[in-house]
Amino acid sequence: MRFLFIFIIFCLLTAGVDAQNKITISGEIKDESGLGIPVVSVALEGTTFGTYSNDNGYYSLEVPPGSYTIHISAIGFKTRIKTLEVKNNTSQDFILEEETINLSPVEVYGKGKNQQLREGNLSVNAIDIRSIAGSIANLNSIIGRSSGIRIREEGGMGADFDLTINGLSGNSIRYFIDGVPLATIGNSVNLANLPVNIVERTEIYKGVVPTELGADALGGAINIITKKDVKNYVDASYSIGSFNSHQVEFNAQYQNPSTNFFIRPGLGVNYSKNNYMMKSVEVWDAAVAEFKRVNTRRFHDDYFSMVGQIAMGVANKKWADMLSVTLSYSNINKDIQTGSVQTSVYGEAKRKNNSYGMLAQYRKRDFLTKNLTTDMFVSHTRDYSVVTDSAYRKYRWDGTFIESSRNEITGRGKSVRHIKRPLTVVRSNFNYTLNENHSLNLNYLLNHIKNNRYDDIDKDFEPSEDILSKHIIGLSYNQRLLERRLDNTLFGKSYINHLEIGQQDLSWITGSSQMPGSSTSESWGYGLASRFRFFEWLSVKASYENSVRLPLAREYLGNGTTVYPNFKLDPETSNNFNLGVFGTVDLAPRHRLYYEATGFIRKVENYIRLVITEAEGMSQYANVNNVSVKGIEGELRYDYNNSIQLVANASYLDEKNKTRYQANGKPDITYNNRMPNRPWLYSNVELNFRKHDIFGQKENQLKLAYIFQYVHWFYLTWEGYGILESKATIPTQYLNSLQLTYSIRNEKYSVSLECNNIFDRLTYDNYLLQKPGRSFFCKFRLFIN
Amino acid sequence: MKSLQFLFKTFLIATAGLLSFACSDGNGNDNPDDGVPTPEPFNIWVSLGGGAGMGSTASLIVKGLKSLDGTEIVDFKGSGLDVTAKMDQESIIKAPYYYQIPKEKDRFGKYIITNERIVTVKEVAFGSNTYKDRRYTHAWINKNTLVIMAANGDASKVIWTKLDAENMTIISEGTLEFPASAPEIAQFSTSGIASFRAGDGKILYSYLDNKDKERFHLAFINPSDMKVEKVITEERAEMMAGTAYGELLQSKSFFDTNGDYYLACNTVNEGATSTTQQHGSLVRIKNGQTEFDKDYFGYITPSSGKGKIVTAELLTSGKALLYVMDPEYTGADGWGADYNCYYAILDLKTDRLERLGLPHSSGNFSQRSVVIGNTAYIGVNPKGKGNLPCVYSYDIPTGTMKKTISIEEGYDFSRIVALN
Repeated sequence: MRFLFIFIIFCLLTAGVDAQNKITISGEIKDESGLGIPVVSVALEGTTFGTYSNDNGYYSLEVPPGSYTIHISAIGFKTRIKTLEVKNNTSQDFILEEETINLSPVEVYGKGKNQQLREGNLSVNAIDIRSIAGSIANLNSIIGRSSGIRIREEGGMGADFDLTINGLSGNSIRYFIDGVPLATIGNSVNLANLPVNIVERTEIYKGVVPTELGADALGGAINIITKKDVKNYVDASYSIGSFNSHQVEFNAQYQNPSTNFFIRPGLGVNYSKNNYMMKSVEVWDAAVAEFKRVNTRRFHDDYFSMVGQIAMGVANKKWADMLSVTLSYSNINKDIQTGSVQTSVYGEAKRKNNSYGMLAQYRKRDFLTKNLTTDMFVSHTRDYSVVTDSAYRKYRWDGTFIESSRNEITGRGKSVRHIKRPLTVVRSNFNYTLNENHSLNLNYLLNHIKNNRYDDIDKDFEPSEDILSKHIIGLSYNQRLLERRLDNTLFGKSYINHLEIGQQDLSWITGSSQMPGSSTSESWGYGLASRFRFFEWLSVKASYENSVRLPLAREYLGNGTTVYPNFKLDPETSNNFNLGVFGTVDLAPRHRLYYEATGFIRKVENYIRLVITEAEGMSQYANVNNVSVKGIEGELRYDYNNSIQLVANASYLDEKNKTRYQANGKPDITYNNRMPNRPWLYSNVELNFRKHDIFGQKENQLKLAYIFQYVHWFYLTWEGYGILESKATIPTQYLNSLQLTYSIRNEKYSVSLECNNIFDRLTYDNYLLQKPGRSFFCKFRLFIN
Repeated sequence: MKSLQFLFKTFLIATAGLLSFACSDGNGNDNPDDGVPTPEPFNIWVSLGGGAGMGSTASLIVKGLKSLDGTEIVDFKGSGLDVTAKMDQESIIKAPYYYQIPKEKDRFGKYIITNERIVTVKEVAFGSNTYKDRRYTHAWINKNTLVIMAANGDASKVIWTKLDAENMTIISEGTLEFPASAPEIAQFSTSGIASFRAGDGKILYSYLDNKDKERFHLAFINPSDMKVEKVITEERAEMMAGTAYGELLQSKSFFDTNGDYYLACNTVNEGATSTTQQHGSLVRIKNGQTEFDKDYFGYITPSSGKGKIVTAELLTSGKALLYVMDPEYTGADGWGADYNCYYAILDLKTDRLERLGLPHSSGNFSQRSVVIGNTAYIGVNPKGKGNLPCVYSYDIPTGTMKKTISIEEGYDFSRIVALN
């Protein structure tokens, strides 16, 4: 707290100093159709002054009075140069003329939006997706190999997965699409089934999450930014691959220059049989009365997903920079092949999810008053899931079954469980720019969810309806000082939880009798982030957040079958620290090296975990552990002449149990021990080669990528107890993959071949849950604009 | 420039080297073994990060000891066997073997636990009757024949499987057919409790209706054809002391030296705010009889306690060792609190309860007592920092108590198993 206080004083004092003797050059940068162009470089020749236009094409620059030559440049547009004599605050707009160019691959690592984010004061992975969309199947695969991220998958396409950011995972992470919670498209829409082609980039916030996302995230957040090109286009792709996998993606945009009306449809369909080979699984051989090990294919793992959206609205109106309505629909059908271990083989159980959503968004600069920008949305989603577990069968890996005495998943009676969770999310964001270097941001987010459950078959299941509302208010102040070498952000968040309890049965277990039928609780969080650039090749950034994660609906309300509600849950809290250095070094002409190294600490209290209750086979979420995660991660990016690129990153985590005493007052023997069943050392290496104008043809290119992923083995249970030889481990993974992409006519047409797990290694992210072996994918893409 | 090329080449070589270093993926456990090693005569089971009973997924460590009579402090750091990935604590134990549905959940298995490894002696896949791991009951109907019983998935019937435990083959399986005179059951208890009465060669199977927890029933089953010959109902108590996990972890019933069958029962207290608030009782069926002994209703006299019976086992002729949960007596904060259990000896003739002078203990999903000849080894998880979980040796003829081994503080001491 003392540090925070000093920091606030520092910010306030420096804010006053910096504001003196400056005037503002500001304006809008538009294309020929009148649409604002984002991320346009605005640089004053012969000075260190410069900035980028925002998402709406607006820029603002504070400079001492004088004469300047201003350079306006952006990829895809001709550069404008203009000389200005400025004595007072000056408004200067620009219209840029389009220029057909070959998009350079170095865009990924140049000073685009991604690099700006990386060089901001937060700990962020910013990944350019647009330039590689033609060669990747899903976002999981690319996000999972970025620095500090680990994705543990339970199987092939559509399998459940757990994403970890710097050691914190699961419910600690929040997902957004263009700043809107991803759940508004549907509860089952995730990084694995969201269409790749619609994505411009992903922002992965590690530890400290910006207030404008309005998240009660504990360990970080992922924000997927979709493409918002200023041109009309059609983008379509089809992929075919191993295990009867097919992917179709289509998205397009039409803008009417005269009315500024736009319509943006998008559709992604995934299908896979996931019938990959399971190696050395046990099958009962009745003839010899023994289990024998065989290789056999998965037989009940079909996965189908369809995610569709259509956005329409107007842009660049006097009364709105953007007003849009988005309708979304998702449909996911998934067969369930195994339980938590692969010896639990299912042949009938399945899960379905249908979601309908509507989202209305409004953005306006100079809203009500000059320099006040607002960004608002309201969404409503009807999410409906059905889990069918109604077969009294026991399957084996060879696909045979016996009639059994119980259902497949829970081992109980037949069940067709329906869960309806209507979700309403409202956000209002106001950003007030005091001047070029100082801004305030106020964000309010309402998340309101109902939970209706019933069962078609299980007559013992009591239908219920519960309501959970969250209000999250965030206020942040950002300042850029010392010619933007110093960038500070200070923020506070208020989390308000409102719970209405409908169910009163088992009150001594759920705590419903100790809680009023309607209750409201409040928590506070705060943080700061700072970055100082000493030189282009050396910058330091540090951030801290005291964050809060409110319990999720399923943690409060249980699942209606095996998980009891717990209305007494407290929010999780965490103190997150990041300290990093980064810089760009021009080693020699055409040789550029970007490096980044970050140390981080997460101290989590009241960790919410699933614990076993007294009653048979039942569990309940409870505040149990305190956990500390310390770690270090680093990344190197080397680029040679836009044709060879090498990226290597590595992460090391020291995640320990910090619960000194058990609930009964006794010391916890595992205090200060490494948390079990968590990967703690992993690394990725990526080598990209790109060649333009090959085979004597112009405007074509060949891209070759080699990807190596390494995950060090780890123990399933607490290490240090029991002889080491007896302990189960999740073995080391070495995964090698190759991608080859050939495109012509400036990437208008492209075909990509991919081979994953080249050496067909047996790999596991979780104990005894095999992942796919060697697989091949081919993607055809057409992009017309 | 040359140096850069050199660096780049070096990196590629190093990467290639790393790739070629790729090692085996093997997990290195659970392979069936040849030969049957002899385990230590006692196993101590502890769990890490919470209790291990009743569906818990906490880590389990087992350590074999030659004797429980020493005074050493047993620790599990770097020693003992981590069985978490393969086995549960809930087992049928017949020295030197553990029988159970293991973590694979699709089979019955026969295992030996040594300090170095789990030896899989033999496994057999489920037949047509499939069971939920940890939730079944059992009875040995002869030296080598094991009967497994449990309710089916929707608890509409009771299924059974007869196993040859010597070579782990399924002899037969089926569903209990109750006589028309038996009470209608809407939902059978998950496992019930089965015991084999050698006197007349019957399986005594107690069960209840989950929709009518005001009484329970007991079926007399002929193990040769698994025919239910008779069903009786006990109204004096609401339920058996265990309804879901059989006696895989805790002893709930016993035969005395006369062959009389004693079954621990519990009844929810009047005005209770939770169904866990219960008081216990013992019911009896005399050797050869097929009715509850109406003249006997144990653990109810004023000299007895009011608590809930957690475990019950025969101590010596005419006496039973009880492990009782009673926050009123122990002064614990409530029924869900720690350190609310105590050990006592119940005189089966006089119903006099003699509370042993042992520290109150936590852990109601445990079995830390075992009777061997004239000695009862009783383990406790006592309250207070620095008070280590420990085992007391109780000399039954003289009534003397001696503290023996201790368990390092911080482990959840949950089970003592005698394998001799």
